[in-house]
Amino acid sequence: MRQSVPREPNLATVDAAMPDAISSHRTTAVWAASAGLVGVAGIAAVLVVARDKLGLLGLVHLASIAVMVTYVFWRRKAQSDASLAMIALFATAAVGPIGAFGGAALALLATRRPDLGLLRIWYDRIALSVAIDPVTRFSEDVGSGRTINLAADTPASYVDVVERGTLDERQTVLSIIARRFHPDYLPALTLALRSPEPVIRVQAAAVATHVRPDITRLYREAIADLDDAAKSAAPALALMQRIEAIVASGLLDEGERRQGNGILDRLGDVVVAGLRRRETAIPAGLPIEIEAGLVDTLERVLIGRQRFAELRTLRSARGSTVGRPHARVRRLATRPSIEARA
Amino acid sequence: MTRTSMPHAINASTDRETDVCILVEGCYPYVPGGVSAWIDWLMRSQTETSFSIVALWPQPTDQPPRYALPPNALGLHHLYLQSFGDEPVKSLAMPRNIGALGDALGRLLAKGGIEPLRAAQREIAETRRQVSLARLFNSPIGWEIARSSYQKEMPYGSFLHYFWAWRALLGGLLATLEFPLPRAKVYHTISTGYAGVLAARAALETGRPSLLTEHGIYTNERRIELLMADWVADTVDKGHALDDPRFDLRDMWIHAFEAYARTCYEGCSEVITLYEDNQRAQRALGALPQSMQVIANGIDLKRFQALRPAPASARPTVALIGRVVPIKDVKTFITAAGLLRERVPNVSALILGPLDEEPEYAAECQALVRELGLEACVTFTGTVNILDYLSEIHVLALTSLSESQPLVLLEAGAASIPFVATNVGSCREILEGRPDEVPQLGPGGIVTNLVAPSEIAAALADLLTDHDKRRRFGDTLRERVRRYYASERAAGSYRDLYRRLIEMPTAIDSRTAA
Repeated sequence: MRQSVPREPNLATVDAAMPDAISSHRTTAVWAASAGLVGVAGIAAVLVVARDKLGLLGLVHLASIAVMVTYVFWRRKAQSDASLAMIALFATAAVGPIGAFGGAALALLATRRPDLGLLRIWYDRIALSVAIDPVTRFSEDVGSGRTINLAADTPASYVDVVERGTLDERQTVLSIIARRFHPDYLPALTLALRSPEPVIRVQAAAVATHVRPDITRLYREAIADLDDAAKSAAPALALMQRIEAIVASGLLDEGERRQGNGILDRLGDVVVAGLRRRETAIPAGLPIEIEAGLVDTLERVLIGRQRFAELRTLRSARGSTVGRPHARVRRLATRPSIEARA
Repeated sequence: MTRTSMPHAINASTDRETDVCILVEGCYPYVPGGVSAWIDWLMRSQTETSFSIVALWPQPTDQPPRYALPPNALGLHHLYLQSFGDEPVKSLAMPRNIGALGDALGRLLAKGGIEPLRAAQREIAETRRQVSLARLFNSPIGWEIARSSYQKEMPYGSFLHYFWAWRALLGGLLATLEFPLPRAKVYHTISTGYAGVLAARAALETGRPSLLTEHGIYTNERRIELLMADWVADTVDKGHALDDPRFDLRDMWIHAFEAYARTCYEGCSEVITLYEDNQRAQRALGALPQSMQVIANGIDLKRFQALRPAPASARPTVALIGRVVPIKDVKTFITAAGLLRERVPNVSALILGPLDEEPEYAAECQALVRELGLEACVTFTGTVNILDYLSEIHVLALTSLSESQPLVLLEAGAASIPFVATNVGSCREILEGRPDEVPQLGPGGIVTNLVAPSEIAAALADLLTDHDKRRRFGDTLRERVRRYYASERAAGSYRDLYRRLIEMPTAIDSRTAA
């Protein structure tokens, strides 16, 4: 069924609210001036006519305050901003008509239209309709707590989660694979496609469809490097590793899969020929996990071509470092390559 | 499907009571096929029952309807989910119960269930006495509610994204809660989601029973879509963590649809689906076991009675019947055909279905055929009448990535053609029988993994080359379809169910409680 989830609308820059604010400040100015006029007129009348001047002056003062209190009450009831009205009220209460006129003057000052250029920049900024420089964005993300949680535990192996996780966890893994696809996720995806849980199978299938163009793109990028890689053992082995993962996904079209297998054969030949020439197939100083991946690929090449003597040498080099990977790195750093020994 | 020239917006009076009011989101009568075709079939199969329909749609549409209402459908109403709200107002008196209203709606959106719905209905009724919700929604008070929800739920996230997601979700919910219900003796929703909330509301407000027939699991479909959607912004970087507790927009959307499902499951006295596998998902989402049952879809067997299986001496022929679109994974079928040709050199592989729905994908499929050199083996027929082809086909294949209960399997079965199908929807149940099938009829085809061309090719080769097995599987499938998937059987089940629910007394307590 067609879903009813809407897309978020495009935001237009809105400064239509500005005239409302100006009008509101004008109204405040009028009320504050009225309170001032009530005060001035009352004082004048008392001074000219009345005998009990002090008592009547007090009443006039209260009348001015009453005008502003009425206005403040009205604004609050209407859920409107009453801050300027409150200032005018306090000023009137403190210094009578002078305070009221002061409040009116303040409100009139506030009616001056702000710099619309700056305002527009700000509106564009909060509407995310302009690019924000990465440093500012990052700083805001850190400040707001939107960045990755560095204190969190290391994520679990996705293959393990697909095999043994809860339904929620498995669905989350698949969503991460879909949105942040990397060839390293392919084993988890392949496993999910064969899950006994129908919901997971369906989602995995949707993910597979979603990431297929990415896989095809990765494959095409990989074979674009073929000519350069096929010149010596190390780049050939590295490219083999990339293409192997893509071909193994089972998500390439059949034609590309066959072509990929052909390329793997050719690269395997290049690697073996390089070893014969005593070339370095696995450069020294690589991160351990990358090196381990390359060693696995190299083992497959040697087994596939029945180069068991070289394989034994390779394995003996690996065996001496089991459980002590750093020792191996140190040794590799002092030798040209494992393969050179082979 | 019946093409029609009827005006596309028939808004009937809500005063005229019908037997059944169908609540359907995003399909009938504007989208052809699938659930729409099923609704059309259902109404036409229940001639003694009167219907009205509420079509839930995002916004008013210019799309012409693809189905003419049957004579027993007395009205079509429209509920637009994304059009809620009056013209914005600058100020509005604050309703006295605004806090309680916000809390009740928040609970309904976050957790769902019949009690939160009842509370929300109560607060909405109280608010309505003071101000219309449509006015409230587009007022400074609405804005303040959005701000306060944001502060509570995800103050670290982007307010801009939150605001629009909140508006879309709450707008749809309020539109559903404010919609004038047509009078009916039974309310029948075809999915959870907003239509499901409307069904639960109908049960609560009118005291009449509501029922749900779910073809696919709507909440899971939405969940999958939302988890992978590019249009939902990730405002929090959760990296690769699976257990980051920070609430983000995807969580908000998913929680809302799960809450709607819970509300629907609790509000409906009958929760029906097409096959057993779906019931596991329904239970996980809150459906009560005592309200659940399976009513499989059926087909008109008479249409296939005259068909005879393709003779063994004919050119070995396999076929895929379906639209050439990615969800059918036609490329896997083509790849399998290539592998099959290595074992059965003169095999013919037909792809019977329209190519114009996703032309780019169709072009890729045709390119793949050329790339694999299968031009003499694979034929794209375009749209055809499958009855003209079934007598030439030895084995049918279905390589879909997702299905619920594919009618093509039943049609092939009715024509005694065995099937090789991926393990999706009810394919296994149709081909191998339900565990409680008595007597056990045996396999009517072979079920394979998804995206597994070699496995599919091996299964097709097995059935193509073993004539006895093919005949046996075909006969078994025909028998299973005759016994369990005849349209008369499905129509009879709904007739009995409607009759029982229509005759039920009105639940007075529920009516007064709302």
